[in-house]
Amino acid sequence: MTLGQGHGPDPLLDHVRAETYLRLRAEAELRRVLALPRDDATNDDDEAEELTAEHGLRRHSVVAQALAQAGAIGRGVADSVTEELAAALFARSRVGGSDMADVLRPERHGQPARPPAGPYLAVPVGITLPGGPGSGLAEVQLFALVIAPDRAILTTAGRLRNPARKPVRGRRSHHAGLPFDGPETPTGTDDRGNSYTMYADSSSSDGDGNWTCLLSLSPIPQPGARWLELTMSPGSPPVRVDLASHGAGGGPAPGPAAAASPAERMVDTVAHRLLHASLTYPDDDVSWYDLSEIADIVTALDAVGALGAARGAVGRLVTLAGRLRVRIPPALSAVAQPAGLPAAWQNILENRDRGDGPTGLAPAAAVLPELGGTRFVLAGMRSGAAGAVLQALAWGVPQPPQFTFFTDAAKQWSWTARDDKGRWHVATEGSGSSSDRHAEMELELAPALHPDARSLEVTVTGPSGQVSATVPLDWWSEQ
Amino acid sequence: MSNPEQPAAASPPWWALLPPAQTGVSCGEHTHQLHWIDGSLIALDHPDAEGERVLAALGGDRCECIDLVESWGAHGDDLEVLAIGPRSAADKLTIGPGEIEQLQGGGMWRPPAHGSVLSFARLRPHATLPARLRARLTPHRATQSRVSAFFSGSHIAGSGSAFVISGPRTPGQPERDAERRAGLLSLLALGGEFQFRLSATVAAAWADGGSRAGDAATRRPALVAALAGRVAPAAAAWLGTEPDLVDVVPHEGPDWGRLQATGTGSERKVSVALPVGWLASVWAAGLAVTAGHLIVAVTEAAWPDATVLGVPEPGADPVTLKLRAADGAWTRQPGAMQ
Repeated sequence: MTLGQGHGPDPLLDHVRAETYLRLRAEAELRRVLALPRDDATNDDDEAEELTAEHGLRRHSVVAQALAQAGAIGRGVADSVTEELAAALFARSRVGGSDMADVLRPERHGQPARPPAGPYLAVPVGITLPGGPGSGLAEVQLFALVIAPDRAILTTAGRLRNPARKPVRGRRSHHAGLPFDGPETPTGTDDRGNSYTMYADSSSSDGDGNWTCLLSLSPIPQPGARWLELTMSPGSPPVRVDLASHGAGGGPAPGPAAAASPAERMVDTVAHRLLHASLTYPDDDVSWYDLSEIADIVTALDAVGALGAARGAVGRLVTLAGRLRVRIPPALSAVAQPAGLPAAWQNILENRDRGDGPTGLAPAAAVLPELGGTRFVLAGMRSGAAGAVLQALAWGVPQPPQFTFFTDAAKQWSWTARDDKGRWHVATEGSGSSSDRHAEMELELAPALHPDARSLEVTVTGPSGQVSATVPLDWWSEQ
Repeated sequence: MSNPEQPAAASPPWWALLPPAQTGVSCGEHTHQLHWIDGSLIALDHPDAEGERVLAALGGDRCECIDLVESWGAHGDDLEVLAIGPRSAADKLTIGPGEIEQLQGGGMWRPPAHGSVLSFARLRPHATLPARLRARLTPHRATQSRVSAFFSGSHIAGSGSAFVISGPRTPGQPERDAERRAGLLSLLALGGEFQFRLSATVAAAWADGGSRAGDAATRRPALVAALAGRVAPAAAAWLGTEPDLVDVVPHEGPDWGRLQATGTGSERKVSVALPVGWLASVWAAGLAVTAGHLIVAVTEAAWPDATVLGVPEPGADPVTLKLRAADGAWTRQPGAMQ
């Protein structure tokens, strides 16, 4: 039996009590759905007061996974109870075959591969080049080169010469019109005379001509190489990337700091999401934000005796929701009194309307210490007046549990940052891609970076702790 | 197939109030009959079912009838039956062959195929399996990674950003779990009569005297839920309260159990303790609430006649009732002892 990730079984919790609670909750959920008129149970109407069967199933899954995260039940128990509820609903035609097919698909249980052992290197590049004649690009921006034991990635972006009408996204893309798909791919050499080719590992464009790409180097440069020269198109001047001065050095990076309790982290993650939404929505109106999901989780944690110190986090969330005029479910108010907001949140709220962020690009290259079997590397930033986007690569990111893709409380990671001018930021994971080995994601930071910021400390908090890295903000401008 | 769950000597067997049931299933080119009687499922058109199983294990053709009978046996103590199966006669499962085909057609699931092989291995643990059979036992490994797509949390912000996940198949326990669950759905697709009989079989296995009774403590949460999911709606309807206000726990001991209530009207809270065996002998027979009583035990049974203990109201001692089944319902007969 596998218990909550990163925490294991909590001997202070009564697992039988928690499993019984969850199973009785599933019974109540089945009764609730069966009491709905069949149309109401299956109609996906956002305005409906009652959760549909599908939404109820997802909500149940979130609660189950929360109990597992808190160490109150095993992950296997959480999955089983959810799957049984899904099967019970399917057998009564209350959820569709696709949900059931998901349940019957065994590979979803696969655990991610651990990050391979060995050195991880993130080297700033920071240059904009004109696109080659055959590249399809007006320009190409090279952010950072990441060399890991199992892959080497150059993070790039740019402008398409002829923007497509529709956004496209590809993994080892074969989409016609995306750069670096043709025969004239970028190449490289190193100080030892080794040659490299580069191909698009993943790429996308947004339809407005903005293009991003992860270029994969083959073979992977070996440790000891002092520099690489990258030639992005035939005949263009090579770009030298200095590996030697960015090798492992300066002593070991600090390991993960202890995390708050799983319950506390879940509640704070929702608060971070709410905070971020309040910064990015027009007119700062987040009155629509739904806290009923975290309320169900808090109710469950409280019922099985696993809420504990997270009451303080609930209090913070209640205060934040009140400040932002978000409806507070009674289940939250019932377990905690409003509490003072952390200084970082206060700082974020004070700067929420800033539109003074620097406009520019930065390599923003840094390797974060491994955190509970997951490794993050930062590799590029685009900053604008209202906020910034930070590119991150990852190894060993677990797949989201069944039915929890859309849920804030089930998010594994919570990102915050503080620039050297004292301005705090919160980030959420935007677009990205993931496999069982690798993931890439764009972290959307808000509020705006301080206009004079020269470095940024980025912190990610996960189930087993939190780690940080500081990236210099060496701006260079787009051409 | 012999019946594994013998009841205590003084009690009627758990199946005593469940009449025989029969259904047709597609088997190859034919429609064959499955017959349930006295706790056992029989493939009527396969008189040498055991021989066919052995042949199938050796690589011979399989047939649906034998697969279903095997699956019935394999799920005879599977508590997931009670998690998925019906909670009451009014709780109609709609799953049928069409839904099973839908899952199969989606390419997401294939029917169980290893049951006979595993049976063979159990019977002859040191036997050498034929190469063809070994090949069938080799877990399937997909060569292409799965790719699915969903929208990340930022869809809320209207960015429309996409997230792609891919990963290889990982055979092992999860695959077996998925296969087991798919097999269970096939059994539930046999129809309501068989759903109740399978549920009763499982409950009997976990009840006092059942083959899994010794493990009941380790599965208490599932047993609590199985009981609560059936007792609570019945008791709530009987007393005019809400199922969520009915607290149910498994009863252990020689007597019938316990029933208490506090409060009034729709706020009435009820506490019930009944043995797990109640599900097999009382609930599965459609007796939960009969003639205004919560039926708590069967004392004599010769279908369609039954003598039962029924509680007329919370706090009252149970009384003996004589009942008879007719036209799918139980009715009280003269001669009941108060």
